[in-house]
Amino acid sequence: MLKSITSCFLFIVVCFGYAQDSIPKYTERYSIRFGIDMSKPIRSMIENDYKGLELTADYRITKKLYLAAEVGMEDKSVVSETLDFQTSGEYIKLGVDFNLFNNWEGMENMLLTGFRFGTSTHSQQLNGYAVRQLDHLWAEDLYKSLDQPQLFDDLSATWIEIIAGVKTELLNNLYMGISVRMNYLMNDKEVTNFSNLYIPGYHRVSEASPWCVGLNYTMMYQFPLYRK
Amino acid sequence: MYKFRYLLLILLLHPSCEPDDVCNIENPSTPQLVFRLYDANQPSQLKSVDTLRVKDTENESVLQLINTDSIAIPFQINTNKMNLDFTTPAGMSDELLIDYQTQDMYLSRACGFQSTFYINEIEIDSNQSWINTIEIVTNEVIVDTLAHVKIYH
Repeated sequence: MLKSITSCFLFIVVCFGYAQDSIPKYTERYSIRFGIDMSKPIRSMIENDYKGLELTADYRITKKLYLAAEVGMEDKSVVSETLDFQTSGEYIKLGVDFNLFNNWEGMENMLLTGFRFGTSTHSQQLNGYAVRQLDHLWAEDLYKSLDQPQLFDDLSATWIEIIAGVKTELLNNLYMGISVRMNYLMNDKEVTNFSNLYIPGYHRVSEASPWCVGLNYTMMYQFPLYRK
Repeated sequence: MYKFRYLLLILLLHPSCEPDDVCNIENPSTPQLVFRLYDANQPSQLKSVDTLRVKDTENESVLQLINTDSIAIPFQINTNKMNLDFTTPAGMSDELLIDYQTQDMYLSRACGFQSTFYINEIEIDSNQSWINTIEIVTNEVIVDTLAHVKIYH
C-alpha cells in the first residue's frame, strides 16, 4: 500500500517536472461578440426619411471560422418626382465570416470575407405618384396624391451578401468593424401594380440589376467563453 | 492576404447598381386617343381635312391640325368625361362626348405610372354638321399605335 502511494507520488512529480520544462502551449480565446451597426442610428438622426436599427453578433467556432448574424429593422420614405412611397419592415441575415488575417499571439483582429443569407418581411405604402404623360395639351396636374394610401402588405424578399471587411479591437474587448457587402437579390414577392423598390436589410432595389452595395459599421463587445 | 486583395478587386470592379432612375423617351407613356378620318361615302377610304381645331368645351387649350386624316388627343387623366369640339375652317362644329374609365398602371421607379383607359361610349352632339357617324374600333386604350375611333365624314 505504502509502496504504491509512493510510486504514485513519484509519478506525479515526474509529470510536473516534465511539464515545467516544456513551453506552455498557446491557446486562443473563443468568444461571442454582440454589437450594433452604428451607421443606422447615425443615419436615423441625420436623415428625416430614414429610421433603422441593426444588432449584430458573431461566434467563433474554429480558428478561422465565425458564425455571424444580423437582425434589424428599417423604415424608409422615398419622395421623388414620380413616386412617393414608404417601406418598413424587419430582416435577419445569417452566415459565416472567414478570417484571413494571421494574428500575433493574443490578438484577435480580423480581415474577413464571408457571406450571408438574408430575408425580410416588410410592407410598402404608396402615397402618390405622377402619371407619365408626354403631351401636355390640357395643362393638367399629372401628380396624383392618394387620399387613401395604398398599402402593400405581407411582402418578403431573400438575398445573399458577399462580404469583405475588417474588425479591430479598439479597447479591451471592444471591437470596431467595417464591411462592404455585395447584395444579390434572389427573389422578392411580386407586388400587384407596383414594385419592391426598397427592401429592409437589402437596400435600394435597382430595377436594372439584382446587385446592390451595402455597408455596415459596427461596434461590438466581446464576451470570452473558453480557450482552446 | 493575397486572396483578400483579389476579393476586394472583384468587389470594386463589379458593375453594381446600374442606374434605373432615368426615364427615356422610348419608355412607355400614357396612350392618346387616336381618331382616323374616313370618307362617309367610301368607308374604306381615308379622307383628310384641311384644317381642324379641336378643343375641350371646359378647357382653354386648342389643338390645331392641318391636312391630316389622323388625330391624337391626350385623355384628361383627372376626369372621366371630355367634351371635344371639332371645328372645321368653314365654322362647322361637332361635339363628341367621350365617357371613359381610367386605370393607372405602374411603369417603373423613374417613369412612375401610366394611365390606361376604357371607352364606355362616345356620343355625337345632336346638331351634326360635318361628322356623319363614328365607330369605336376598340374600347380599350392601352397603346396608341392604332386607331381607337373612326370618324366618317
